Amino acid sequence: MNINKTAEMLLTADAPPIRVLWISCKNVLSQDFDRPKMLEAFKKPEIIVSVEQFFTQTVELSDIVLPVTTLFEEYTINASYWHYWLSVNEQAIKPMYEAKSNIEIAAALSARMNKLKPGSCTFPTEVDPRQWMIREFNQDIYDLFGIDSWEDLKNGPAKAKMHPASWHDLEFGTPSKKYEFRPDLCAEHGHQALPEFKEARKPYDKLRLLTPHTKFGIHSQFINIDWMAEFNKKPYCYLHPGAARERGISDGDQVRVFNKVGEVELEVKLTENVPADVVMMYEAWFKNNSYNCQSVVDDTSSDMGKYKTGAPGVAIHDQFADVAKV
Amino acid sequence: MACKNQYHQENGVIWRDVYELKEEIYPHRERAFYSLACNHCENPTCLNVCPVVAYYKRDADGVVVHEQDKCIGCGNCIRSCPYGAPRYNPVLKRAEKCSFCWQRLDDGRKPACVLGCPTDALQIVDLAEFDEANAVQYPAGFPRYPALNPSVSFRLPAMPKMIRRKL
Ligand code: SF4
Ligand code: SF4
Repeated sequence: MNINKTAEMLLTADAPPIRVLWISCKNVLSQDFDRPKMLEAFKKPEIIVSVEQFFTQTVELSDIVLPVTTLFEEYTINASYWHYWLSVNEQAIKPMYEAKSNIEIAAALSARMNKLKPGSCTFPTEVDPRQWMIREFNQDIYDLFGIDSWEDLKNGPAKAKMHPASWHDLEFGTPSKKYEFRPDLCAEHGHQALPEFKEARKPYDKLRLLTPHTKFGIHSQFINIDWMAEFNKKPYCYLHPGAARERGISDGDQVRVFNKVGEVELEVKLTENVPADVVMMYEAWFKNNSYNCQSVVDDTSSDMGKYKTGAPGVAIHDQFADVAKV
Repeated sequence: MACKNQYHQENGVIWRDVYELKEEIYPHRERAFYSLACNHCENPTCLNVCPVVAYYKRDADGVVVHEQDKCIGCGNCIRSCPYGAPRYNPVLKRAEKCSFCWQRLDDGRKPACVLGCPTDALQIVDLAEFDEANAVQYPAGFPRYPALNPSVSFRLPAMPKMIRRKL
């Protein structure tokens, strides 16, 4: 499945169709593109289960919600995007109420499936989360991080022994190890070996719409937490004073950002930080607020991404919309 | 947020906050800020107006400490501090303010805000020795109260160079 077209896949997969949707480690309704299409797609599966810590917009549309442990309640390994550090997360308290870790939930599901139909699930039926975490290590990982045992991480995080810059050893990560002007790899993956001009996506509305990440969270995470919300109470969109003047919009007005996909309503801040042909608003999920930027972002694929991630990315920089005073 | 993370004050009670500079002071919105809390003034009005002497100023480093267990919640300090540093805790019905993390200082650690600042915009300095040509006590937009003599110093932001494409 193309993970960047979740809604489309749910609606169109037919060999076989998707009958059960099990959502874990993801807030699909906030993160995935084309929310109106997603709302349609969520009507299709016979049952939707979500494993969550918070009452997200995805949870609102789920049939069954399984409370999952927070980092305080479980043993796990933290390795993240965009940095080289690895750390162990030790359990600080026993899981509260009915919360279980993802691994325990998977094991319980496997146990039930195997009871109903023996052999139907190969996942272990009993796991100890701490043992499971230990099994995530092997000699290669120890070598990469220069540690002898996972327990070394109890003294602090370890950094991968990797150079932060490409070409530090005067070799590129290409098959030829040189800068390739005519990369065969590109040609093998459906692109031109030699660069050629491709027309960009045609604007379908008056302003370019940007929906970047906020400094207050990661996708839809953390923004909803009370003490973080003290400093970032609600969403805004940002518009150039010139674009605002043309539309009779003043600073602080309540506006609609709308396009062929859908619309969102929020307060506007006027600033020359954004160009005159752009409207910008951050991707976020606020507690007790229906704001969702994916209501105006469609799931059109970009041209690159398949080679590295298995599915083309989404053209999130080529989205368009208009703004009007409410 | 480092302060909130350290102390988890009641909702709505903020000891240190970040204020966006107005466009008259810095030409871009949401690009330059003051991070402000209690200034641990040389002559703290909070201490002077408190009927139960719930405040004291430490000799060694000048930190103005509020002893919440002594506080009767009369609100004098909250009303009289021109920097808005003391806040009302509606649950305990008492005042509270930035402690400069004095317990951390005594343990040889940095305050949570200084530790948490990714750009080193916040630092502890000894004002008796701090002498920098570009540093001022009262930058634009920061209220001037010489009678209190706030123990802070600000390095002024460099003005950005505007390079604009003609639209
Ligand atoms: S800033 Fe206000 S609360 Fe802090 S020491 Fe000065 S007068 Fe007291
Ligand atoms: S609110 Fe508390 S600390 Fe402030 S002046 Fe009154 S008694 Fe003193």
